[in-house]
Amino acid sequence: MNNQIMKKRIGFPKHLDKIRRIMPNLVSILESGKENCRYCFAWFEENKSIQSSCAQIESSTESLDRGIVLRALVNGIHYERSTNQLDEAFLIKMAKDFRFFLDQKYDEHYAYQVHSYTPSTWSEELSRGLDEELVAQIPKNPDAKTLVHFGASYEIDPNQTDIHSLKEMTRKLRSDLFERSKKFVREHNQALKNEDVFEDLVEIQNFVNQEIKIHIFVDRYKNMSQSLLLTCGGAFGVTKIGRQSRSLKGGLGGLEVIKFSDRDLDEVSCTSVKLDKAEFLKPGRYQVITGSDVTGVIAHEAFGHTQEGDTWMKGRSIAKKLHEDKIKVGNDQATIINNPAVFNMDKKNYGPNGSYFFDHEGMFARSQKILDQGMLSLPMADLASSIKLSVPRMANGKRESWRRPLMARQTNTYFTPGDKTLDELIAMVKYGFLARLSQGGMEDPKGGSLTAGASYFEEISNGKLTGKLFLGPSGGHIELSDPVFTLLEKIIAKSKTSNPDNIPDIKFGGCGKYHKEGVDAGCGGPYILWKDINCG
Amino acid sequence: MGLSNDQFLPKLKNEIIKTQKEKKDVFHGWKILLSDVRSIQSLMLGDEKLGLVGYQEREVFDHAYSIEIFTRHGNPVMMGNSTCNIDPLSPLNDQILKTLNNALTVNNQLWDLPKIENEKVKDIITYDPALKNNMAAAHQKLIQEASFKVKSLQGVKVNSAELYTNNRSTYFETSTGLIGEQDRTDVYFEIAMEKLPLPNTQEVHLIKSAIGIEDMNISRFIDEALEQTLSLNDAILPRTQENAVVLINTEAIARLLDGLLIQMNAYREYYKTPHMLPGQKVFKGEKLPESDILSITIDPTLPIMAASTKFTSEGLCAKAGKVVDNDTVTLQMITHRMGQYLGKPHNCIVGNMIVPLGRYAKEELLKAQAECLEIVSFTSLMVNPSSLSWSSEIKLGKLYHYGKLKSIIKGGIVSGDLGENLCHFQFSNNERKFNKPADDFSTPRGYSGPDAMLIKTGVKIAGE
Repeated sequence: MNNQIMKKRIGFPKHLDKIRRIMPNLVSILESGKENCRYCFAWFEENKSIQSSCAQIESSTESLDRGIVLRALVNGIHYERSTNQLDEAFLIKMAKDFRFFLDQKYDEHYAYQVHSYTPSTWSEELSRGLDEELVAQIPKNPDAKTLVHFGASYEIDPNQTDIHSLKEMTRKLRSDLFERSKKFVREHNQALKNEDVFEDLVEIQNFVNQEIKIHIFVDRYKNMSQSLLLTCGGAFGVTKIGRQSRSLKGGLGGLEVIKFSDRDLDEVSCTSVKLDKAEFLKPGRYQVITGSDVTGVIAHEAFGHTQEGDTWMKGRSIAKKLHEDKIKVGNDQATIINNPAVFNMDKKNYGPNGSYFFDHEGMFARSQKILDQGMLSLPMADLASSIKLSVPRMANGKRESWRRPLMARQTNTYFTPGDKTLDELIAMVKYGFLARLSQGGMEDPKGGSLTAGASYFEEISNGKLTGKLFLGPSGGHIELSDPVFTLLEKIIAKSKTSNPDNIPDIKFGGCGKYHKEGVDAGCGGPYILWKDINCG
Repeated sequence: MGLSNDQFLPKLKNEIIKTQKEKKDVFHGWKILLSDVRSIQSLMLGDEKLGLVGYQEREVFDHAYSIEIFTRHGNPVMMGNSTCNIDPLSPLNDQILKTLNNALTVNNQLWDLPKIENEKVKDIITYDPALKNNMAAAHQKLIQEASFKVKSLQGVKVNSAELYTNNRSTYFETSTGLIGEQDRTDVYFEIAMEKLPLPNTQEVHLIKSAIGIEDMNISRFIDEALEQTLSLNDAILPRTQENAVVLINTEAIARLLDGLLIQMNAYREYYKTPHMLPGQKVFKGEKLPESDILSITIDPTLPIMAASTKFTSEGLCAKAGKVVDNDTVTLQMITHRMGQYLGKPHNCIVGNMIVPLGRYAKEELLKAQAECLEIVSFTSLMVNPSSLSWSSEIKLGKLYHYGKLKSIIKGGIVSGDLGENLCHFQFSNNERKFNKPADDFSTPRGYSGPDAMLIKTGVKIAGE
């Protein structure tokens, strides 16, 4: 998609010039003279964020976190030393101590059992093909000494965004939402003449968060950096009995990515109130339409985790054997993409929060079909799993922060779009529900089952939304759960997108692999009509 | 050397005090927090001959400073606060002024910052000396023990394991004279294994956190994983039920009761979100006479427990209190700030949850039920602290008829309403501890109480 509005890119910040100058030296200390049996890189990250939240109690936070990781891959083991002590003398000593440790462990007589890894050069990567957003930012004929920088684009300058402006935004939004909710309750109650009246919300909480992430990666062939600007904002309303509904907007860009529509504002101010009168769903199987965020969680859980390279490598995924045996695990509509190179989506001129230019091991962002019309592909491999499984390496090596280990992780995972409108999908339902707002999910990669949560259901009867809302059988959110293969056989139809790259809406999301290691992960897709799903 | 002797600390403190003097019209108070974390992390693959083989070995050194600045400003006077991480390599004055300006954008009701109280801080054991004194040696010993144990296992294939050992020290100081320092240790271990012969579609993935090596008891933990793995047979979906009888384990009890405790936290009353006040019953509906009753004590002094602490988050002495007695809320947990906001005395109750045991063994509880589903593991148990409803897919369950195992259950969704659950339940008479140190997803959780809870009301299952 061509940018309709002039966007700027975030440049490389001057205050990090010094650390960038030090990093090649650190790599050299670790690797020099041992390149035939050792692969080393240095990774630096700076995460700077500002957040303002408005509720009964207001708060504001500014945080800055920096850290460096030195990696040495020797004989199939990935050794790392990481710290936030960034003065040059400390880092050089750390690198020298690390080198001493490695030299002691792998002395000149050591018989290596695993071949060393040789990283790719710029020309090799370019000849493999890259997204135009990356190609446009790479200077001609780059080499190991070329400082290459990739910057995310924005409309509203993050340098002009401070806590004061965020505070004004959140205060106004909270006040507007309360006003909107009170008006809705007043008008509804007048119309009902004291029958079944709604009560006002007791609390509305909202926040805006903006984060600038700077990454520097240096190995023997590359010295590159990226600046990622992530902005998100959200709000939720709470009733006296604790029912709540929310709206969350965000993605790769400045404040322009958190424009709340009327529908978003109503979700917080009116739906929360309506949920006080929601019925409880009877546990059972129902025909369901999932919207972008619930669809996205299903994509992320259904063969997302199963297709992560380290899960394959550990023997913890059912997908490896299914792929090898060429067993079809979904119908022809079951196509799932993992793509870190998403810089526009559906009708939006920005990417989701799982996008980047290269991963945390310096691998360039490329799209991958992890499930193609029901057939499983090779996994999303980080460096470790790519070597161990002898499969192509993808840009899926991610870590929560420099404090945590790197794992094969998803970036943006989404179902491909179909050819219907949402109204056409609703018209296809005799009795069923539209699942609204995701409430997380989890997958069992070995057993092939998944669960995805929806905050509430909207009833559909004879092809029309009835306006009736349903909560889970015990009054909480609703879990949708089925074996993955059964579920992916049950896609009846999907909604379409007008995006020229055929990328549907992808929501701001995150993933905590096995309940830990939180990372950004965009999840999305079209509206999908499922034949039936077990709901409880 | 303790963190109080940190070389950068006096410089930071002096700079803050200098700024406070210069901006005394609005700069009301401050807090400095210093943390030092050393971590060793091993990610391993199962190996038939060697037991466990590392593929990722990490060492982390994290030393960080943060500040919080409190302001009093405006007309009428409001109070603001803001936190910020401090970069020791950048000009301090700029960072302090920026934090002050951020605090000035915040308008909250006034409260007095906590001051030194006439109480001696209790000495609480929050770390394992073996881990604190030589973490590298302790880490290697744990790996060796785990690897040796894995090598000895029969009938299973171990797929992977992860071991993290952590030493964490924190120091704080406030403008009102509160000073505190605390050391913590913790160990995280997870293991994934499956039953032979291969291939199969079931795996057991167990996680355990502990504060010390003894409590971790890695060999016993691996034995538990082995027992669970060997018990796996062909699994079926549970049947759909509107009123199921289920048995849950230590971790699930801790999760559910933690949701209840959130409602007893005084901030919920201030926010006007669903909360419980002293005198209120914890159950919802009619209490059955044959049900056990619930009592909960919160205690920050239990040795080697995850939620043990000398201090509250405000820097005051942490205290114990019985918050639920005989099914009735007896105390709210009230911080210094919330006490002022609500006009109630603060009580600084924080810590581990202690729940009295029941009368019967888990086996006896199962034997007395015509049908009971023991939920061995939830896929992802979520508890809503507002509605006290909970739900999850069933990752692994065992269906019993009068105590006899009938089938292995996998899949289906179980949900419940904790208020209704507490109308008819029974605890086991065997004590078990559960520890989960704080992480990015949750605050620390320490539990000491029954290892099983039989729930006879308010549970629904969506299955076959």
